[in-house]
Amino acid sequence: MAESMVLAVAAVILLRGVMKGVDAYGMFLKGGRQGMASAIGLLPALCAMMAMVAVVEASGLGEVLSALLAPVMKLMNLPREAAGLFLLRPLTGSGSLSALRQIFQQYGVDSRAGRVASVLVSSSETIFYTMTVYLGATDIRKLPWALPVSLASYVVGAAVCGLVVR
Amino acid sequence: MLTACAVALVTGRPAAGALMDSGAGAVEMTLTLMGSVVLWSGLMEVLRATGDVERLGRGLRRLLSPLFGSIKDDACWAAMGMNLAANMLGLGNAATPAGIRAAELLAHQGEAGVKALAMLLVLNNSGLQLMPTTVMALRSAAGAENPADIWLPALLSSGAATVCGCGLMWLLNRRKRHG
Repeated sequence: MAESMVLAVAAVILLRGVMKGVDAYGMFLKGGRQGMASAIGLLPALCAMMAMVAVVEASGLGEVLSALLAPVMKLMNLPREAAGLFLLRPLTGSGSLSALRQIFQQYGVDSRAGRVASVLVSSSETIFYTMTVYLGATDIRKLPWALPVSLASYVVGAAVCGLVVR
Repeated sequence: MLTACAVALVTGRPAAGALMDSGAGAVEMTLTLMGSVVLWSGLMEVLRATGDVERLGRGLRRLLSPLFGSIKDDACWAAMGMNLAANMLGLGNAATPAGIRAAELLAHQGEAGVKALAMLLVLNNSGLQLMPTTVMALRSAAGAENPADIWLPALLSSGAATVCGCGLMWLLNRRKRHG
């Protein structure tokens, strides 16, 4: 079902383009060019994060962190292999993509850890980064409750992930 | 990163190889993602050109206006609607500028604006996305049996985070108004 969803979404978008009489191909190229620029722009950050994740894993620091977080992860029915990702996700987008890839390579993409990690990454946001960017545009220094509520919702989302991913 | 290097040096684990390989990994991953990012950015640009993203933004206004209480300003809503709609569609390129514009406009609306911005950020942070294309692309590259099978669980999980986030913010705003 999910498989056909992807196709359906692509088809609906193109259909809307034809209905509205827009230059679909031209727009596709324009958007694609922007997308390519942002994918390349991601590379340096991805490289830094990949290095960090690799060394954290290889040095054994990752195991220590997972062991520390194990009770919390167990409570939410999440595999302990995803502990690092769970910590990294609100902080950095490229960092969590690196951690996701690490989990795919180490435990397999279709393992429970792999599926839980995929859902964790796709159902959340880089909370700290978003807060900084949007607040930076204003002279407001503190937003009442926005950060704690965002973090609490993130934990609730993760718990639901532990519940629904078999 | 420093801590991890120090730990590796002290324990003598072979982390240097992992460090050297990571650069190649990053390039490989960029290439993996590029195709999908280009494809979906292109498709979403087509959708943007039809005006449907603005329409979705206006629909969201009707749905969400109880949460944002006293914000009636049309320019604010245009920016907020665009920001939320673009976020749900995974249009990062369009979502961030709209969000920044919304933040600037709300900053001039006093107390109500601050509350509304907090609500907007909580909604942004709950990460509701209708089509998680990046993760699907990575899963497909890693040889997943069905790369899209995370779609429903991801929707449930971020949906729960969204409901929980705006529910909590709504309660907190009410409590302060009465207390």
